[in-house]
Amino acid sequence: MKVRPLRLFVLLVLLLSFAAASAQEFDWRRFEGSEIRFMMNRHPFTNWLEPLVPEFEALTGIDVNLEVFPEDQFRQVRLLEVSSGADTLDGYMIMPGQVSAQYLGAGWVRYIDDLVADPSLTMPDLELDDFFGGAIGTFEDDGQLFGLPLQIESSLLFYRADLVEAAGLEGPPETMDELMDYAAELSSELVAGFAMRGRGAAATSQTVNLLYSFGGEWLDEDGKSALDSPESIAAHEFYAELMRNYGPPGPTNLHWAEVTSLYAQGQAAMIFDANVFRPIMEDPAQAIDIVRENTRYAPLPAGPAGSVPGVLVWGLSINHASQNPEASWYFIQWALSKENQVRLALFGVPAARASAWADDEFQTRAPADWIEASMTSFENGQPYWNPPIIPVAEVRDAYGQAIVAALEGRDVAQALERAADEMDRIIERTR
Amino acid sequence: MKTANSWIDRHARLLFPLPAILAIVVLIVAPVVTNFVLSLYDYFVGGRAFFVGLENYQRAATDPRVWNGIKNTFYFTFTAVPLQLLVGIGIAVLFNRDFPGKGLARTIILLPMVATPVAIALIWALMFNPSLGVLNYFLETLGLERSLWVAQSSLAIPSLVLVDTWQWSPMIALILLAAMQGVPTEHYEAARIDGASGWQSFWHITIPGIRSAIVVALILRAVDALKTFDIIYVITEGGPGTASETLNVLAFKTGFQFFHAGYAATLLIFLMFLVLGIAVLLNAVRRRTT
Repeated sequence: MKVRPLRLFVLLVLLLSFAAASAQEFDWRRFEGSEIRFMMNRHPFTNWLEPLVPEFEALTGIDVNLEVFPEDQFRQVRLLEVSSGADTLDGYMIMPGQVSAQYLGAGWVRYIDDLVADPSLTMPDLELDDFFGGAIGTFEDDGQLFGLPLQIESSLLFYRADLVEAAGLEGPPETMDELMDYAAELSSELVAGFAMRGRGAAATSQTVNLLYSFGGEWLDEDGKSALDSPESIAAHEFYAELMRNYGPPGPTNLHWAEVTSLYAQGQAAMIFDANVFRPIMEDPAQAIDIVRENTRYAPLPAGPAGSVPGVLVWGLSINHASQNPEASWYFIQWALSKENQVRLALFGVPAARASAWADDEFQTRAPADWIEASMTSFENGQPYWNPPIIPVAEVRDAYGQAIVAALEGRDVAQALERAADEMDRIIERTR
Repeated sequence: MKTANSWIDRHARLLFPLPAILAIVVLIVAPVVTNFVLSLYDYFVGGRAFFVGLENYQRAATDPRVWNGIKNTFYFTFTAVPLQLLVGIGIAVLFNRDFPGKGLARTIILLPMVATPVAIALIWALMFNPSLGVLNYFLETLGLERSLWVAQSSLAIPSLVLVDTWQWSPMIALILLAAMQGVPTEHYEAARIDGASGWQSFWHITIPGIRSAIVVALILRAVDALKTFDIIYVITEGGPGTASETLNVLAFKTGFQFFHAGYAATLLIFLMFLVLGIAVLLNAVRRRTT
């Protein structure tokens, strides 16, 4: 066999460069000249990120194209591109609690463990442990990582310290039993003791907090609905009793807007809803004085299975078909670095890193009890505020029917059995 | 040139209506046919589509939620439309006579009809709020009991009927007012000379004189009411539970929230025949009255 010198030379160069690469230190400019395309939801995170992209481009020499759509369209366009297998899309924003079943099932995300494990591709101070457990947990699939979280939200108990004190009680309720007692003590002709959402499908993202804290789950081990488990029945009987006895009139009408405005107008002593609604309670145009001065925050009271709030997490993932996974990974690391998460938090978006919440300047921006209660929830949070299956909206609707039935005083166990049957049928149909 | 002209002359019968026929095919026939084809598939948007024949129809016929939707559609339509007819006649009679400020009053009464439905629905939703809404404040001021409005299953549709009546009675009034002004004044003069009371001349002259206009208004409103979507979706989303879920709202949820495009298409075929049936029925009544 005749050896061709040119081929040999190329082979040698390749081998040498490979050896050099494996020994290489992390270098921001390694993928200079690449071009990547990310699809983004028109979310405050994106508003914050867009003007900073030139910083990344200057640092790395990688060209970044962000394509931004309003949320509904964003979901549709992303679905279209990702399912078509187009390799021109490198990464996207994703809310795993919403679509992970679909995206993981179809193999549309690229796992990043190999990138994280390679010290030449991962910046030294990435520190995965710095992300809240509840946040990075949503990006874990059987021990494999498919992205990183950018923001995290959870629900908190908002309560009126003045009313609690006047009733001779101390501090926030810490268990579900205490919550019921407090609600009873605080409710009067004019003020509801407690309020949370009750409007069918919209309420499920909040009642799921009770479900998990009472030891329930969406699915059992066989992948069937567990909405009719004894734990679930106990959770929803508790919910119905709490809302029917101490809630505002017409609980089936309550969406987050109704819940927060009732509280802001001084017509509810305690509410349970998303922590991001704090600004409403500080806004003189929306909340009356006595509410603004006396609002305190606490984590979800503990049920028989502890305090297990659901967390809502957005993050960034790499597209399965991407031709530039390394450059995309660079972009994700940079966007979610410690420094940038602090900047994001100061911009007003709840960052997914604990270090951002511990930042001195950020600490002065929000009440200490809100920060503390939020951080506790983020650490304990579970990602499935939506059912971990593909037809999310349809299942939420079926579950929502049971919530309405419970609030209207019908048999809770029966309503949940019907919802569980319907949920199983839905899962079967979309299989 | 001559030959081309004569060709056009010979085929003018076909050529002139051609643009209209094309528009009908593209905008009406094609979507209906596509919708029918879609209704034969089990198609989960984002997944694959399977041909299932008439299975969707079978399922719909035995789906209690579909029957609940049909029941609510009828309940809503047949309370809202008669109520609007009564209110509409009242308004028309009022505006059929002269009074100071009539022009201004007429403009104001027409406003609900031209307002954006989603915007007014949002405002009504705020007014219906059982704890903070202005409607309960009025009830209390009048010494009446507070109501739960749309938050109570049994009151959800009646509350929506209230909104629809507020919004659409002016349209009926407008149609009937035009008809009333076409009734010859001699008839009223003759009746007055014969000693007829105001009620008698209304009942025996005005009503027969505007009968066909009433039927036209009824057809327009009934067809529209059967398809009502915006105010129901914005105010109650079909709730509490499914208490105010009409067939239209159910089809929307099935298609655009649950992503079962095939089944949603089936439901819309049901709705189409429902609307068609009512329209044919009312049209037959109209033929008999004219």
